[in-house]
Amino acid sequence: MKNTKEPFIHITRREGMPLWKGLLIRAAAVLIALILSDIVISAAAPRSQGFFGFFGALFSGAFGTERRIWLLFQDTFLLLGVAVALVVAFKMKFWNLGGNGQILMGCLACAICLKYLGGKLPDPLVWLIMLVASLAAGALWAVIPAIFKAFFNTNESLFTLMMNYIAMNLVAFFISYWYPNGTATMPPLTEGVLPPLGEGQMGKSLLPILLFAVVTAAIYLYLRFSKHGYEVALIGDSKNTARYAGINVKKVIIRTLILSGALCGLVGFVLTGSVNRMIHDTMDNNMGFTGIMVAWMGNLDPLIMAGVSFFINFLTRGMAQVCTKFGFTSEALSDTVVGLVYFFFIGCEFFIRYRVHFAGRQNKQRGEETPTPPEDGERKRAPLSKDAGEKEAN
Amino acid sequence: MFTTLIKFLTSAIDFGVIFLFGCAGEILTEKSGHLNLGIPGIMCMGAAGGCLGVKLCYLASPAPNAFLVVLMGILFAMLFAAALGAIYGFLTVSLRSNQNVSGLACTIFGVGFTSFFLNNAVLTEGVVAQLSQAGNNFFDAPLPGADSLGWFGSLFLDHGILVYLAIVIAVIAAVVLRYTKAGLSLRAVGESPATADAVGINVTGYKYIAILIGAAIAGLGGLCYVMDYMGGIVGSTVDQTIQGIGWLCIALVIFAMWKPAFAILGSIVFGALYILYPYLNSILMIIDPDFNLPTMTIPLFDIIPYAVTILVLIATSIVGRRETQPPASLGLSYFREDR
Amino acid sequence: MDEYALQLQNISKYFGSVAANRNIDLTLRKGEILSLLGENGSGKTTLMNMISGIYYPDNGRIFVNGEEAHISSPQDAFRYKIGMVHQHFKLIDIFSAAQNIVLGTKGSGLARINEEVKAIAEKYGFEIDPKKKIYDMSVSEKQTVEIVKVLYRGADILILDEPTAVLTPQETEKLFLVMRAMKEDGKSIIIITHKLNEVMAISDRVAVLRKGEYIGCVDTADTDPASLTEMMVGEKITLNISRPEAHAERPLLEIRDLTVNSDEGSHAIEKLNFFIRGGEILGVAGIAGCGQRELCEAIAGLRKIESGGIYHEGESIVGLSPRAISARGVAMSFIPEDRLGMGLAPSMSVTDNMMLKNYQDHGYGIKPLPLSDEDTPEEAKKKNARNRFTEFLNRHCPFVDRKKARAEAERIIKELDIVTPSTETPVRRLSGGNVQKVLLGREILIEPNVLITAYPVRGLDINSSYLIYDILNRQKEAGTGILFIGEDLDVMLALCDKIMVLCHGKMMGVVHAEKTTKEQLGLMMAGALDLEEEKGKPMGVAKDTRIGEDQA
Repeated sequence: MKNTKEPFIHITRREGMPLWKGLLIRAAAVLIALILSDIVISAAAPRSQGFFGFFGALFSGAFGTERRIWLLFQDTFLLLGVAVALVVAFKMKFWNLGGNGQILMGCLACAICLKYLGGKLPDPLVWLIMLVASLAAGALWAVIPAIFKAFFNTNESLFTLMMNYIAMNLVAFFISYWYPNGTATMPPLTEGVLPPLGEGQMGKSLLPILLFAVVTAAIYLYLRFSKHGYEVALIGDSKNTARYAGINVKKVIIRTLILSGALCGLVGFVLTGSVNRMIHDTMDNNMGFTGIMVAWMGNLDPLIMAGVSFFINFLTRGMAQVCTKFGFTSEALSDTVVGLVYFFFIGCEFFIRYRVHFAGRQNKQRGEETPTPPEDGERKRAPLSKDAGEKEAN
Repeated sequence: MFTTLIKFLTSAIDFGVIFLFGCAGEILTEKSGHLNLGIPGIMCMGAAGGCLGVKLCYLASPAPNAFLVVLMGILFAMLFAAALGAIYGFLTVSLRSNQNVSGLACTIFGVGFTSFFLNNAVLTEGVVAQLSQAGNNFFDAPLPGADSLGWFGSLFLDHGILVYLAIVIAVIAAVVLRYTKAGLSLRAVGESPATADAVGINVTGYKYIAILIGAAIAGLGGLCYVMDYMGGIVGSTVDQTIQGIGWLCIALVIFAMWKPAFAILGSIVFGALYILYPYLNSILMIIDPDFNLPTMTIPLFDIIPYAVTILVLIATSIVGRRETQPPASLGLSYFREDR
Repeated sequence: MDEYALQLQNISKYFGSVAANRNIDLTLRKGEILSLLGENGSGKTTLMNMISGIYYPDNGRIFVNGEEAHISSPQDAFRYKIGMVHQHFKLIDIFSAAQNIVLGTKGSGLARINEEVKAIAEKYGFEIDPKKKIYDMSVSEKQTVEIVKVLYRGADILILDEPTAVLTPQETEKLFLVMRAMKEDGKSIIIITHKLNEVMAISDRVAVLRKGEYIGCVDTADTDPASLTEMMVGEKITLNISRPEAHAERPLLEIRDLTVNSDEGSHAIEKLNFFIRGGEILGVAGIAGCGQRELCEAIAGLRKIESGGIYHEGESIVGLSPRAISARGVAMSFIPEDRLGMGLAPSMSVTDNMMLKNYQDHGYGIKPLPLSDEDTPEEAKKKNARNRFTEFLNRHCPFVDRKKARAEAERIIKELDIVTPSTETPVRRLSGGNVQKVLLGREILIEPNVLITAYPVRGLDINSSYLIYDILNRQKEAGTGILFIGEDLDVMLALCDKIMVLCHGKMMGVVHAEKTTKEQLGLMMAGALDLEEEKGKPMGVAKDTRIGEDQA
């Protein structure tokens, strides 16, 4: 008879790794990804700046001037706003991949208000109408898939994905309707837009930063302590149990997606009403997708997500500088590196959630292998000792 | 009127096969239980690889063998696409990461890399023109009789090699899934990996093979767009266009209800919808010569394929027949020792 | 040739720090049927999973036919001609029987599979339609597919994991006939079970596991159920569950002509009539999947009923929301097979699970003023008004009251002796018995007047089971009407006052537990005896729980 070999690699699930260890693994993964990018880019670049030149450019791109720092924080909080909006849905295991579309609809509603009401009504009134319209438009784009999910269990990830492209083309339609012979971008709107809160870049960036800091904190409280948040988490954990608890699951799905979409719409409102003061069909800047990465990499925890959002924007801004400094014509290199970082970040999760054993080593280390976090459920239920078993037998 | 219609259908087929590649690849992947949202990125990678393959031929000789050019294009497109597919597979199969997130990362990486690669490695040194002339001739060459057999010739024979390849691949995929033990095993893996594992099917192996072959096939879609449909002209927004096509491919999987044979029909429908605007205009001009659809309606026409997909998605979920549902364990990772 | 088909030496398997198997030695002779006996959670299935390649042992050696074997995958197991029929069938729903059977085997196309499957079925006396889709099959048909599947692969060592749990006594007899036919053919069989009568009926030898450890192996001929029980539980236990006398009260819950559909649209419950009185335990017996779940869900308001009525204290509760029904004092705890599917949120903490049913009614944590008899009417009126106001405030508070829930969690952890590191541990991380205690504890916290409990001791060890019986009896004495849906007839005979038997959603009759026999219940469960049809009313029929013509 043929003898099979003992398996070389043997994997078991682990639970409750201490936080610092998990963070360390993630940090290491990101660092490896960056070093790898550095080596490849330095080798291929027309004007290489050396190993440390890469990191220098990265930091100067992100923090080099006061304007850059403000922009970095502005983008961080905008992305955080989107990610937080998505988390509301993700907590319910509703895969809202439609962030892009919901943002664009927010932009579109805002732009329509500016176009037709700007300068014709008192500014504060325009702002209010703009805000309400943006929230409603974003919510509408999320609630349509939610209704079908609730009543017919229609696959939401694909539905929301398709809604993105409908929104994009709607924006394109309105632009070509307003400017039949013009380009795809619209000249900046001036009347009715939100005024800056101060001088220079700081004045422009302060609104998104403050607004989404507040929104993030509010959503954190909402999810953690409110009755609604409890319902959302319950549905995410087990729909059957939620139904059993007397929750109207359909209603909560719809209500939650209205919130999720409205928050994306709010981002659109800030983008068109304040930051860019115009509209074009890629204005969402793919934040709907990046937001998913932020939400997932941040473990759906708004506080960690803030850090992740900061890091991703740091990387994007920094890489733009790397591209220029190293002499590349295309800035798409930035996406490539960010993608690579994602791969490593996603991959390293494995080592946080599972333990890998190699053949031949499994016998000796049984004792020290048990996970030892203070909150680990298994610890207190120590295996019954042999004595206990024998006592029972007697 | 009739010629316009034939021309319309011919173009619909030409465009539709791009969807067919992506869709057939995604069906194979999804049958193994993996929703690969990286398809748009993977198709981009196919385009990047194809361009490189063709360029290498021209770097080697100013007038390379036509067969060689096509072969190199296909080979490199599949290699590049499968490479990204391998990353997706490693993350989701071996490292059991979340499929949605891994797929999106693949799309972000693939689209970015393609844009960067085409701009910095392939399209430098004035190769653009060379590529456009070269690719066009070989990839878009019709079968003999295309011109002489009237409407039959233009409808069925006036296509490039990749069009026929796509249909052959879809038919093979349909046969394998339906009539072979390998197909049965693959479907079992997608339905219930624990069951498949228990009867001794190599779950990991099947998943990897399905993902890799699926990615390679999808990559041909990118090649097809650049070399056949665009005739080798690589614009600066090619990555964005292919990304949009890629999402439609994922939609088409639903439209085809996970059946490669239906996907052939579905892809032609999608192709027709995608190119509807210019043809509708010319058909309407036959009725009323002064008629002119305003160009601002173009985006509205672009909405149609997405809207139709949503309608199909809703319809299948309302009807809820067992045969039209996605593989039961789609999107879930499999870990044998889970209790 | 070695006399043993299979030998295990010193096998250990750990999950985290919990030992599922510790230093197990086991032998299986060629051509014998070996029973593997043990309570739930004693590690039987884990051990068998290591033989069939689902798990890999952390320690120890396995010999097949005298040669050491490394079984790291089900393929390896098949190579050693080992096949396992799992308790939860591993079949693909949308495939036909034949497709499931040939799945994973080598060889070309799918053309002749139907004939091949038929041939095997005839050899051992199975009844099977190769073209039938699994989702159209009954449980025993699915089991047949599983066994034929293993035989098709040429297995010489068969492992059957609790095959009789889902079968009627008659179906079990049929299975045993097939098993004997396989034994005649030279196959070695391990059957996992915890039913002693079956052990005595079918096996040549019995191996006993307890709490992950190997206790011993005896020839069936040399033993008896009492000594096997002793080996299994470690100490002699009296199967004496106390049954406080029921004091008949008025009916609390009435079910009239109730018809409920299953998920597939067929009638799961058909024209059911019965009522539960306060202070009694009404048992519901029936093989798995004959409408118990649908009945529970219908009463709790989770499933739409087709026709008929459900009355609580005389008022119809049909169409009320689950929350409204719960507020009337109808509590339901259903332990599904996976224990976590219904009633608990596995990733949430014990605290969060505590407030599952009443999180809406609490918020600011303002306590109502206690009423006492010494209050003047004036004061009582004032207090009542204030209490209504605080109730209103709490209900409309946007935030949950975790403090209260934590206190409740601490209370039931203490009272029910739940083993958990803290109130904030996700229930997913607790062991099965503790999970069930959390669920039952929460249902009792709302002080119900009707308690519907399905499989409350599923998978629990003896001590925990007794604790649960105790809780139920205390509820009964407090006047609660209890509907007890159970699996183990012995327990039901000892615990319940009356037993209602269901067969495929139809009522076969209600009998007094004291006056009936296990055999009679078995016949009723299998549909062979229908007391509803019989005019002569044989012994033990409990009339006062059935709604007669005069009452309807």
